[in-house]
Parts: sequence; structure tokens; C-alpha cells
Amino acid sequence: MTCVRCGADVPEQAGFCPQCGQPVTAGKPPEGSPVNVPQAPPAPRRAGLAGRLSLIEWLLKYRAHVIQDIADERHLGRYAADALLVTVVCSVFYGFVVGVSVGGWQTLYDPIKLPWVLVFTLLLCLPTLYVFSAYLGSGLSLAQVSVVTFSATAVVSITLLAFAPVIWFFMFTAPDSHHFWVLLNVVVFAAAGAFGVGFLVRAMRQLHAQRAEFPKVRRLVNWWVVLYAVVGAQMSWLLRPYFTATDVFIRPRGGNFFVAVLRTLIEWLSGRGW
Amino acid sequence: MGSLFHHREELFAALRTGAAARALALRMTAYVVLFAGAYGVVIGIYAGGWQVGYDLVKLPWVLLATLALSAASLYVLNAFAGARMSWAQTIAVVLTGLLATVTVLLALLPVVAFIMFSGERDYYFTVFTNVVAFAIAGWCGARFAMEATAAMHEDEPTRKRCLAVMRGWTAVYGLVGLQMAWLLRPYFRQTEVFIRPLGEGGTVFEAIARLLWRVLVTGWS
Repeated sequence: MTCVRCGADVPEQAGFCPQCGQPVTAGKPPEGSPVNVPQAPPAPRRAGLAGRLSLIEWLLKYRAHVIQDIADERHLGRYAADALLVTVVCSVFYGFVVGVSVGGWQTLYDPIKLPWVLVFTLLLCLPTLYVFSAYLGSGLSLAQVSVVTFSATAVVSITLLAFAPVIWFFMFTAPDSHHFWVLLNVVVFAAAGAFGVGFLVRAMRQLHAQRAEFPKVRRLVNWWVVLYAVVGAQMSWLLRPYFTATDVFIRPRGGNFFVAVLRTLIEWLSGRGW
Repeated sequence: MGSLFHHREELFAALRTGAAARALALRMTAYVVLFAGAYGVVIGIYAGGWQVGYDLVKLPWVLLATLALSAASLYVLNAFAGARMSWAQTIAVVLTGLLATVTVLLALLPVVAFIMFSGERDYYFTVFTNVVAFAIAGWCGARFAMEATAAMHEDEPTRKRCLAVMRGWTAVYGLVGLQMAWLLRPYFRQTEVFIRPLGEGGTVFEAIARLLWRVLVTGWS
């Protein structure tokens, strides 16, 4: 049993939580409350833009249903197209929020760069995941692997969209804190990426339900996520600047993402370069 | 004022069913505006001049605008944690926390006001007193919001995940709220302007780092 107040483990016969003293009966939901009831399959999604974007709601609320469709190879083409659309729409919006705060041509460039990074990184890494999962005996088709990873990317961009107001607020109210912007965006991207990975792992677990290959596929996913992160970091490094008003779309090639983040962190903490 | 805490089970039950969530959210918003505004007026009287009216607006604004900016992230994180909460329920759960915060704040107000008005006028001590009051109230509010979150979920794993989400999100709310409060300063000085120019001083975190640096390395002076 868990304490409703602090979440600590409470022995079954205890009257109060040993951590915080909360009575164990208080705040306990009555039977049959409507929150968290197993969801009946939702009505099919409609055609048109609103129907396509309703994949956002599905990925938030009916994930198990989406993954089951992928497992049964239902509507794979539609899922792939809609996941791509959701990814593009959400990341264009996020890029716009960042670009507007930076100003100048970046208002236009950032909304192009963000979906570019997400989609092209995925396209570069997709063959690796498909071939290695097939090698490990997972039996998923290329279409299934594509739809799963497209959906995971959509989850990433939905998370980005959810944090867009917070990003806008900090960038708008602290227009000169360039280092802080960069670190804030890196943190939000990392969090969004973590939710994308969460979706991917969950999908793979459901797609390999009660199959011996799952532990191997799970390890593959771990490695693949590292690969995606490295390629994505380099891709986004290639397309910089994002936070500086410039006329050029991208800078001349050179440097590397990991050194740059470390340098930004050190400069910000040591106070040099303000 | 105490009825929020006395009747919490009824409140949580009403939020859980979802039907009354929107009406309850509106009512709680009204109370948050009223209570925070009352606190603001007292601070404003201390500062004097236009600040009476400004602080009346600023305090509810800080609490509610922060919620508006960060509500989307809570909704999405909750959904990923497996909750099936509507927007109204999500916001109402946070509002229970905010209402608890302002209720505690109002309860502390007589003491804070006594300290502010009785002694010698010392700006930094006044700020410190209010920061302590806000910290206590905010802590109580966060605890209450956790309680509300726990009561919303029947399913044990979902409840655990949603509590973890709420814990993390409270940090997001706190950071955005700090910056919002920093942005809307001054509160305790008599000024003509509503807020300082945008961008002055960067983020609150840099300001805190500068302050710490000053205290630890160069000393007061």
C-alpha cells in the first residue's frame, strides 16, 4: 500500500503513514471513479487536417491502442503520414517560438531547422534499427519499425510543444541571457527525448509481448537511442546557429556539439562572456 | 479560509469525477485572486504610492500567469504518465495547491505585517521576511497539490507515476514562478513604473548567482 500524501510504502495493517503521518483511509478514491478507467477504443480518426492532428490526442491518451494497430499492421501508411505531420507541425511551432525571440531571419530559419533535425536524424538512423532488430529475430517489418519511430519522434515534438510557453517566457523576458537560452533548450530537448525513448521502449515491449526476443530488442533500443542522440546532436550542430540573429542559414562547417555544450556551461557558470 | 483544508476529501472527490472540475477551477481562481490580492495590498501599503494598486495586481498575476505558461507541460506529462485527466481537472489540481498557498500566506499575513510595520524600515529585512513567508506557503501548497494528485488516481502504478510527474513539474512551476516574480519587481519600493524595463538583469538565476557570488566571495559592502 502507498501513502496518498507522500507516496511512501505503508504496511497493510498500519493506520498512519510512517513517513508523514497521513491517515491511510483519507483521500482514498471510492470504487468506480471515472479517472483511469480502462479506455474503450476511441472512435476512428476522421480525415482532414484536424483528424490527422488528432494523432496528438491518441499518442497522449490511447498509446496502447496505437501500438496495437501497429502490431496488427492496421493503417500503417496513415499513422506514418500523420506522425510525420504532427512532428513537423509541433516542431515548426517550437522553432518559431525560438526564432521569434532571436529575431531577424532566424524567425524564418528556426522553424525550418527544427523539423529538419528531427526528421533527417530519424531517416539516417532508421535503417540501423530495422536491420539490427531483424537480425535479432524481432520479426517487425520496415513499415512497423518506421511507424513506431515516427510516432516516438511525434511524442518528442509534442513534449517540445508543451514546453514552448515556458521557453518563450524565458527567452522573451531575458533577451540578453544567451547562454541561459542555450542550456534551457538543451534541457527541454533532453526531457522531450526521454519521453520519446519511453514511448519507443513501451511500443517495443507491447510489439514483442511474451516473446523471448524482447530483452535483446530492449538492449538494441538502448544502443540505438545513443546512436540517434549522437547523430541528432551532430545534425543540430551542423544547422546552427539557432539563437543568434544572422543572415546566413547555417554556419561554415566545423567544431562539435559536445565540446560546445561543455564550453557554454563553463562560460555561464564562471560568468565570463556575459 | 479553513474550509479548503476541512473539506478536502469532498473537493478531491468532486475533482475526480470531472463534472464539476471547470466550475471548481473558476471558483478557486477567484479565491486565489482575492487572497493574493489582499496580501498584495498590504505589501503595497508598506511600499506606498502606486505600489498599492500594482501589488494588488502583481501577486495574483505571478501565481496565475505562471500556471498559464506551464499548464500545457503538466497536461502532457500527466498523459504520458497514464492519467486520463481533462484540462480542467489538471488545472484544478494545481489550483488546489495555489489556493492552499495563498490561504497559508494570508494566515501568515498578520505576523508578516507586524514585522514589516513595527520595526525600523529595512528593505532587505522586509524582502527576507516575505521570501520566508512565501517559501513556507509554497511548501504547504506543493504538499497539498501532491495530496490532490494522489487522490485523483485509483490505479497504483499510475498514481506513483503521476506523483513523480507532479514533483518534477512543481520544480518547473517554481522556476517559471521565480522568473515571473523577478520580472514584476519591485514590490516593496515606491515607484511610478509598474515593472522595470524588460531584460534588465537577465534571468533570476543569474541574479541569484551574482548575489551568492557577492555574499560568498566579496562579502556584503
